[in-house]
Amino acid sequence: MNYNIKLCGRRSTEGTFDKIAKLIIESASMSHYVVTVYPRMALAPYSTLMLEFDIVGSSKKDIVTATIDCDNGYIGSPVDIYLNPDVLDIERTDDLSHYWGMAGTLFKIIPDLSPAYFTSYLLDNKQNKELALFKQYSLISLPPQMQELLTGKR
Amino acid sequence: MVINNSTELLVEYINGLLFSLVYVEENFPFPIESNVTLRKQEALDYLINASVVGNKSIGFFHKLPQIPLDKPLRGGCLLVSASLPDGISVPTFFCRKPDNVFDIFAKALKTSLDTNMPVQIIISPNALNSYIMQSMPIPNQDRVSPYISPATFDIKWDFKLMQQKLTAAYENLTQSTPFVLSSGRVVFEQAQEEFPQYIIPVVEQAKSFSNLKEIHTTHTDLRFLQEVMHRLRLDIAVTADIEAEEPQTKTVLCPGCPFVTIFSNLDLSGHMVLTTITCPAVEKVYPVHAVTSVGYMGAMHRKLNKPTVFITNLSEIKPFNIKPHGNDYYIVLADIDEKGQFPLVNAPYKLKTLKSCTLPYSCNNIKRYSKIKVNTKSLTDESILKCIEKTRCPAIYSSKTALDAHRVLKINTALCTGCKSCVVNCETKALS
Repeated sequence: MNYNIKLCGRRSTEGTFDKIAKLIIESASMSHYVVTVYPRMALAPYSTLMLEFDIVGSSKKDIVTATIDCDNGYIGSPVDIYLNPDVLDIERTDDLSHYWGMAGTLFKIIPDLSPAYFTSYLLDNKQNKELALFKQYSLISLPPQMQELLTGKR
Repeated sequence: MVINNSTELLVEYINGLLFSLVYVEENFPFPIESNVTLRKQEALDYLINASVVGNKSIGFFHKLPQIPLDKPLRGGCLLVSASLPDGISVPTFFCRKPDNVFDIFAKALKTSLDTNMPVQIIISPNALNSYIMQSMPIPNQDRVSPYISPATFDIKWDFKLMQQKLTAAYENLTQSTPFVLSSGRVVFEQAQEEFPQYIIPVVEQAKSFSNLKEIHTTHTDLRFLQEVMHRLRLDIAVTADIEAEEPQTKTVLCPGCPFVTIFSNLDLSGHMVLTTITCPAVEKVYPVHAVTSVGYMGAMHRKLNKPTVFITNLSEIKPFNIKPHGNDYYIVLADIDEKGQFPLVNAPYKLKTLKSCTLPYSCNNIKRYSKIKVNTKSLTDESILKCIEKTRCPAIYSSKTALDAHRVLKINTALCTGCKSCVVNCETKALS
């Protein structure tokens, strides 16, 4: 299956958004997907950044489009799966730790990815709160219509 | 597996090139430290003259102004921008992919040293904010000792020599990086479309375009490509019939942005708003027009048919020329601590009538006031969303989970400056 994943969020001094982007590339590349990143320019220092990941795993033309919108900043065209903190019942935080929960949902969208790179990074850095959030949301069920769509495409 | 952020690596690479002078325009989204705080045009003069005596200099600009070409440089000078320039009087490189960003910077610096001219690098978001697996190459740390003689500032360009140097630089580049455009679809920001890798303003480069009968592009790139065709004396029609990509994320301004305070408090609909402050995000959100401080003075020599509001930094005010006409006003942003020409507004959120005044903060001098208090009881979902939409402040956000009956408004205390723009924009008066 092929995926087009848009990750929206903002950069912070803790580097959360950046670290998550790197771990997504690492996780997908190590699962033998071909990953291409298309970033969008931020107009100002606090603007919402968008990274578009093309994650290609087969020569078929089928593609799942998804947006993981960490801060409700996406206004682009509709996609198959749209996840934001409101949809997932996840509380937005000042320190952006909820980004890790949002990142967890990627493993529901692409089930054959290994979350090991994320968990080992968080364990190594003793980020227990973030690890708990990541695990919690990598195990949740997506809303039924999104699950149906994913099943249909697979 | 090591994945690097191209911005971080580029910062490290630029630091490694040992530039004597680094300039970053206000609000340019690139995390590199600037040696100087100057306006765009002044900064350009500063960097170029530093290079005339042999310093290596680099500047980052939202959009490059016309580059003056009167003296040959001894040290290299790179002028980096995120958007296409209006003109191409100097060699110009285009950096659109993260994997060749170092190669482009190295070639641009070499071209600047070979031609004794400043070189423009136009860098796309794809190159600036991406992730790459390569490591940073070893930067060239050659430096020239600054040197001045009685003739240094008197030497003018010999245009025949300039043409020879440009032609030689072009021939060097075609040997290492030849390119010929073929499809006719030429768009800078769309990675899947073609774009020239460099433009050296010599007629010989016309062969890079010789396969094209016409060029299709976007409205954003039209003017630049027409200028290229004119410069290379090519008779190829350029048509803007490709749609530019729509923005996909909301525009957010900086916390404490003085423009939010000004536009939230004052009705400026009957005025032309002119400003010296160049911020693409502000220009996108508010009807402001860019002008230099001296340019404004010239335009205001005689009374105009429409009243104006001029927003500028205190450091840019030319005191000898402040003469507002009847309905023209100055709003000065205190970026330095000197006393302003106009009364200082201590509580900008209380500013209700349009008058010439000085705000106590500016983009690079954000003051912190007491934190905002939220009375959640009187808030409605609609009022929260409107308030967030109007302020475009990253410090204010809302969330609503299945457990919440209503949307909850939250303030990020780490980002909030207490400017109270949200207080002014809250219809229900729940913020104080």
